[in-house]
Amino acid sequence: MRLRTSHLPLTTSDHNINNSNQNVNGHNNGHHSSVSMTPRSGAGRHTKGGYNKGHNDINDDIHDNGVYETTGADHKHRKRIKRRKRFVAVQVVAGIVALYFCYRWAEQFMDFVLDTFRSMRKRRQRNHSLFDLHYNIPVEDIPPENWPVPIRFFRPHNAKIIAEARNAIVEFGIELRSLLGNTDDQNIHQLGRKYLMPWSVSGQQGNNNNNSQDEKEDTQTEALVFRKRLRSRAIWLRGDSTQPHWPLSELPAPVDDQALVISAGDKQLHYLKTLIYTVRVIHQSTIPIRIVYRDDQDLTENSKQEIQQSLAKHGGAVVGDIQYIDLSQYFDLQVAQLKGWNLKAFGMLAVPETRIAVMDADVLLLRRPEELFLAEGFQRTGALFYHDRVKPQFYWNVHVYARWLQPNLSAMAEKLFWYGGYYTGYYTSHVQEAGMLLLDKRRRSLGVWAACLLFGRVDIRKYIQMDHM
Amino acid sequence: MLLNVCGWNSFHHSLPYRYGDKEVYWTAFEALGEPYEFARYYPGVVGGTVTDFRDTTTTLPMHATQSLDVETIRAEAANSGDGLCGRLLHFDDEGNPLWSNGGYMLKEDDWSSSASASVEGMNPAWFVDGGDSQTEDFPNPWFPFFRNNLKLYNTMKNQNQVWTLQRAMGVECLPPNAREIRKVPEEMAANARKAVQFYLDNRPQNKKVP
Repeated sequence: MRLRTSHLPLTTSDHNINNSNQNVNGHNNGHHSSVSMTPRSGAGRHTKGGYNKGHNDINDDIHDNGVYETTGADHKHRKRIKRRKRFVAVQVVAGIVALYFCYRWAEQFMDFVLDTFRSMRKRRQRNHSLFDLHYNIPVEDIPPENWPVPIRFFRPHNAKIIAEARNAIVEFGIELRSLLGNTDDQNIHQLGRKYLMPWSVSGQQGNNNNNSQDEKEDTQTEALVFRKRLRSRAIWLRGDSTQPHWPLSELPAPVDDQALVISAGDKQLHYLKTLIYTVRVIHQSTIPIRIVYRDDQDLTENSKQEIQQSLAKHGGAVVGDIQYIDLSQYFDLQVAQLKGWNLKAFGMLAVPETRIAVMDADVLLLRRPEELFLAEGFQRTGALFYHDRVKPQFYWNVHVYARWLQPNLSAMAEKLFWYGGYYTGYYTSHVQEAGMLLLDKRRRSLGVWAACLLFGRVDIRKYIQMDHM
Repeated sequence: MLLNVCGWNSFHHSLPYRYGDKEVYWTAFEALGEPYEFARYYPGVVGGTVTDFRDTTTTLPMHATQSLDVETIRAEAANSGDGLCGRLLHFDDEGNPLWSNGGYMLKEDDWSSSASASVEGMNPAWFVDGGDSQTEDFPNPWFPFFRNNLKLYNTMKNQNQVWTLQRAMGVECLPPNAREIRKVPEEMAANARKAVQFYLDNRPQNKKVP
């Protein structure tokens, strides 16, 4: 049927057609293939009487002279041809659109590759400085949530954003390790351990005082460099970084005790009241309670009074220490755009007690809060977290981001997000439930600092929390 | 490389879920190489609602305590492998309930809803434990691709559970494992009920939309 359309404008003599078809079909003589719609001249039976003599179901309206005759029945075919043409046009347009998107995609990506190389060259030319970080995630380029999903999903820019995010997070992980971590290189001092953990290493610091004058100066320079670096990373810290005891001078002096740290504002007031009632009245516990909040707008004076009143109203409450800690007095939260649940990490630094259970306001304690600290894991390492529900997911699990941040994950971390057997296992999309964190700041304060530095880096935080959507 | 190619589509940008602050803590510790540990037991569930994930859902009202009827309901649910719905429950090193998270209702309290799940308090009568992370394994819930196999998995020994969504309520529930649905110790349940009652008495009434 399709061949008929190609015959329409045909003006060549049938002699030529006959010849050409004979040549083409010369190889499969005797096979009546219904796929090739050529006239059956190739079959030996019809060679004598010109082509298409006799009954032919396919080419009925093409006569021996090769002229196309218009009949009434043929009108339908014309309509179909029009429709077919329209369909072809749609196909062509769709193809062009697809090609255009591919082109855009490739163009964007090539731009990104070239940009990367250019910036790498520039960086090599520049004097490498300890105080520069080279990558930022372009958070403003990330599509907002009100865009339709297909457009968000197939945007060519996304390739660039993800690559930038990976670079930024990898670089930040390296930076974190070189600033605070235990480095493999023995020549580099463990600066974080030295300058941010006064409670555990004060004895060792005393031993260093016997050094000669030169070494003292070296140490002072080293401390200054460390403080300047920390200053450039932690924009949320207050105070003068040239002072010798900065940043610990800005924070409350440590007290060796255990406490509950509750992060809550006016929105969670009813939860907060219930939690304090649970501790003081139901469990009769006198453990110190520290309530951390952003500023006076977050937890107002009225709310604090309301909490006291609700405790006084219900008889049988034991007397215990409740402190309200205004985080904006310790940290510059505006600069780092910190609010909501991200404040919990900064609450850990602002609380003087060293053994802390940091919890959400909506926690229901089924036993006395002192029993939290008896956990073996907490005794062993000084940091105990709780699992979240296991939720299998194909793509975009935590492990992607965790591997960017730390290429050499511990065996424990590998076990945390992989569930099931070697072949039949799966990644889980959540690992940790942050409703409760048990921390011993005497041992694990570097981890707390690392969490705060991570929260303080606005673009990375927005990316991993997907707040931008 | 594969990750790169997949990442170009940026699938996660279209996901509704946000991580919140939860994953930052352990990843920060991991980035530094600081030691940390996770609790020995996986989270379980505490509550007073049992369901077969289809038509039959039984909710204990707040005042229902450990009586013979309650015990019958629990035993029947445990026998037929029904799931327990409620709030997330965490355990101490011996597998005893320690604290729960997420509030005092069956669902996140939604004051604009008049459904009983978001108006009445949760009854902390029963719990299912989450399994021991050191000795127990997880089944692959995708493998035979049928939900009914969850029941099989959950009654197998040494297998942890698979959370399942109860669609009518919109709540994730946990089918029981080999240790079944158990009673919360009476004193603990009484204390928890006090806390739930305090919450119900003190939450702001003006937000409630009829």
